[in-house]
Amino acid sequence: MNYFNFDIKKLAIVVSLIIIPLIAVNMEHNPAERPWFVKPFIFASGVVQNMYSGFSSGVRGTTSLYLNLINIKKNNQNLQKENAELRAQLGALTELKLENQRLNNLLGFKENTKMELLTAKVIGKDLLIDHTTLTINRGTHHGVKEFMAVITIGGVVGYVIQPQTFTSQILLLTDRYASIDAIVQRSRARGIVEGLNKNTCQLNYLERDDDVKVGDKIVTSGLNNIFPKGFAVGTVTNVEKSQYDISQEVTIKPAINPFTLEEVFVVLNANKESFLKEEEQKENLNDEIINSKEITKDKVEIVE
Amino acid sequence: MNIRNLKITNYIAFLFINLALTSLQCSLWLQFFGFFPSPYMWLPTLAYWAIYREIHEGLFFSYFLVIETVALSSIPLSLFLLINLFCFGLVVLIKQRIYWSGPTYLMLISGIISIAFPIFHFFLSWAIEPKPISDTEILDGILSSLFTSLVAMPLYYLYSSIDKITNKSLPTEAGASKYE
Repeated sequence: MNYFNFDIKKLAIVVSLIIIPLIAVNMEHNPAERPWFVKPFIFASGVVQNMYSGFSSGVRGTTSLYLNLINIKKNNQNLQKENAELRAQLGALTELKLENQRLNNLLGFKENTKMELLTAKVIGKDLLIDHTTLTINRGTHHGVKEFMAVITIGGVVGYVIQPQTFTSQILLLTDRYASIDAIVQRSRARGIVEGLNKNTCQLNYLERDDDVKVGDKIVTSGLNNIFPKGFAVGTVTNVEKSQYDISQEVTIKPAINPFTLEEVFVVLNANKESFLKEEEQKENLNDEIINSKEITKDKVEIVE
Repeated sequence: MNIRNLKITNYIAFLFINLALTSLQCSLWLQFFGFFPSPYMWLPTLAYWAIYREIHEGLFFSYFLVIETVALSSIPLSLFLLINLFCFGLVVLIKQRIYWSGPTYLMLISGIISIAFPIFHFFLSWAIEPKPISDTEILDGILSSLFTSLVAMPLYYLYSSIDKITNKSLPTEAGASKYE
């Protein structure tokens, strides 16, 4: 057996294979520092890894973007729905807030007056354009009677014409059939307010010499205790005196717009409530005393 | 059901629908659109009866219709009756000259009488009322006429279905329908 008979080539290969790692181990003094010949490979692998990473993140990004789009669409739909619901809620809340304010005002007015008032809600309008009436949700069952006054905080609305059991029809101040006894606040000139068209009325039966000017306030006279005394009816917008007429044409803009009303008061009993200022009330009282004195004088003279 | 019962059912159904429609015009319309001009809801019913019934039957029904509808307005009954009578006459007059079957005809007739209604109202008011109309809203009248014409279309199908249910033959080119 020849133990020394071996192939030199194979031996060289084996030795070199063993030696190379040994040399490498021997050369590696600082494990943190890579040998110079490895560095290009590290760089190259870094570049390739970056490429892979870029590619994979690109794919992942596109996929997730697509998936997100589906979610976004769903989210968008949900948010839109939620938004619509919130808007509706907001609208309802705003409406409630306004209604609350209106009702508070009405309540305040009702509490601070001597009048016996009945709150009513407007539930209908007239069938025809040329007739201006409103229907309210209060009728004879609630104590409403024909010709009872209907007012709101701002002024006169009209009066009841057809009370039914649970509803009533109100003839608005602006209807051509409406007539309300009124006075000019400044000069106490007396006339009858009658409807002319949707937005205007007329103060009729004023004498030619009666003092009335544009801008004058027209208020209720309080006659028969149907309307409270001195309650706003409207403002004079035009005065015309023709040469031969014994009266004058006075156009009035109503104090309130009856077409925006939602709640009104029916005056069950005006209780002689007066909205005149103290001075005006004194003047009124003086006038009444003078009138009664004159009447008494006349009666005495007649008796004598 | 015998013919008389069917006829009464037909009358009641039309009156009930008219009540629902006119109340809608006065109340529901107010809740949604305020005082924006509303269609004259009873006019398509009047037109339908003037077109698709014998004159005496249509006229008889129109009185019921007027009595039912006038409750929703402050207009005097006599005046309202007269205006509707004029409208009825106008429909009969037009029908004798131009006629075709279908909803478009009812739309046309409803449109015409809704324009004629305020005109008749204006002149008859001056003739009868102590305080006649002094100022009329022309634009509101035009809008109301337009809306009346539009609502006549669905109402035609509703009314013809009532006629069908109550065994009234559907309107034909010949005009008035009769009980089968």
